[in-house]
Amino acid sequence: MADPTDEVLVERYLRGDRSAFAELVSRHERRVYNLAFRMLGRREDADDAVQDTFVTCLRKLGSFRGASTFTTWLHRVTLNVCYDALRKRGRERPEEEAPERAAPDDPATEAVASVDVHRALQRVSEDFRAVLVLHDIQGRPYEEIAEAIGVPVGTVKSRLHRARVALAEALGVEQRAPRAASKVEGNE
Amino acid sequence: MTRHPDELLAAYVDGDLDDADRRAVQTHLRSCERCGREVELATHARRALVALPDVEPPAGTAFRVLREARRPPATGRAWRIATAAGIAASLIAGAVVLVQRVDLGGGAAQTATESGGEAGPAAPAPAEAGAAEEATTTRSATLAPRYRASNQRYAPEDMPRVLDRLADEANRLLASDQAASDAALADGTPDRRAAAAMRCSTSAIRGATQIQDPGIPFVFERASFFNVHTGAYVPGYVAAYLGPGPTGDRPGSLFMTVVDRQTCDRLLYYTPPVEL
Repeated sequence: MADPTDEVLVERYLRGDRSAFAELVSRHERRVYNLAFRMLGRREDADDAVQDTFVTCLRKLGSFRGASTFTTWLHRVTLNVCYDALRKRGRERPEEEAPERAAPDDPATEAVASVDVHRALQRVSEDFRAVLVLHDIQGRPYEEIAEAIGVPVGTVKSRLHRARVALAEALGVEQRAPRAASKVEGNE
Repeated sequence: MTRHPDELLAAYVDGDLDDADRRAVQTHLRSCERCGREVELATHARRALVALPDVEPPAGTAFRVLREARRPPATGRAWRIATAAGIAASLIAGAVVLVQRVDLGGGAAQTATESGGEAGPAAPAPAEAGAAEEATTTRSATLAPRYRASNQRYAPEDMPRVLDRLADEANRLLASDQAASDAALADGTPDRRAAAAMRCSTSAIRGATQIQDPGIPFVFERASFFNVHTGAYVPGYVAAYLGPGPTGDRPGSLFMTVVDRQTCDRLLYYTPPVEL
């Protein structure tokens, strides 16, 4: 028997099956937590954000009625919860640390410590961070991201490009020879 | 090709462009240092992000969410099901007193509610004397979002008119779209909540009384049902139904129930006897 879709679980919950919502949480908590953690930078903040996200979803489940997919809606709620949390946090920024320099030799095998990537993510703007996490980390398609954050698809694409550049600069990547286009993977 | 094709560059780094676009970007890159540099930076960033490991979420999220969501709302409009004595502000008291005055052919109607509310059938309180006498009553003005208590006095001959009006309201709600009723279980306008609560109560009533057709249902409001045994508030719906009379042409019986808002479990059920 095929697993019920998210939308079927929503229906079941609205008809009084509480376990259907528990199933939805199980299904999506990893995704929501990772999005929140990368957006907010700190585990305890991510814990709160996940709680807030699912409680908000629970309360608003009746008004989610297939206007988008459940996942897209969930991402939208998660991002809004994160933006609220970031706003409340205020202008305080995590400590600036000198990022490790990327290994200069072989671009194909250089490894950047994940903690540095995480820190660099916290240094770019929230808008950039959102598209970087949704697209490059979570692999969401452009259309879904566009719907979740409420901008056109073209905006998502150009924002993603600029966000990647900003992240690389935050990572302290050294510039190499400008005519490296032919070495970029995947475009031969 | 626009001067700096930002939109295309993201897809280029992903390797997602069709042949024509890819060639166009490569042409641009051959002569544009800025974009060449950016593509290299972007490639590096993307690779770093793709390699980021997932982090484990904390355990018990579902449990905590469901527990959090079941708390009574902080701004709780919690109406307690009151005894006949303390009925001034209570909506359900409106129903109680209505029941007292329902006189569909003579004789006193007995009525009561359980104070606090325990699961199971409620025992009727001693009947008020003098069915023909006027009494101070509260009523729900309409089945509109706001329910008001009033000290309107009703003579027994007023009651059929009141019941007819309530029956009309209930029919209107019944005619609501079923899907809208479903949506209303979680949110929605008060009318839709009422329609949803009706369905909830309907199934509870059917289960309790084996009534196939509970007649013309109507609903008062959401309420927090106070369980005197556990001391806990349970979010619920308070519903009252007008059931068919013996000749089937007008309401002749009243059923009241309180159901758990989440599960539609019946928490309290009462049907006052009506003499005809």
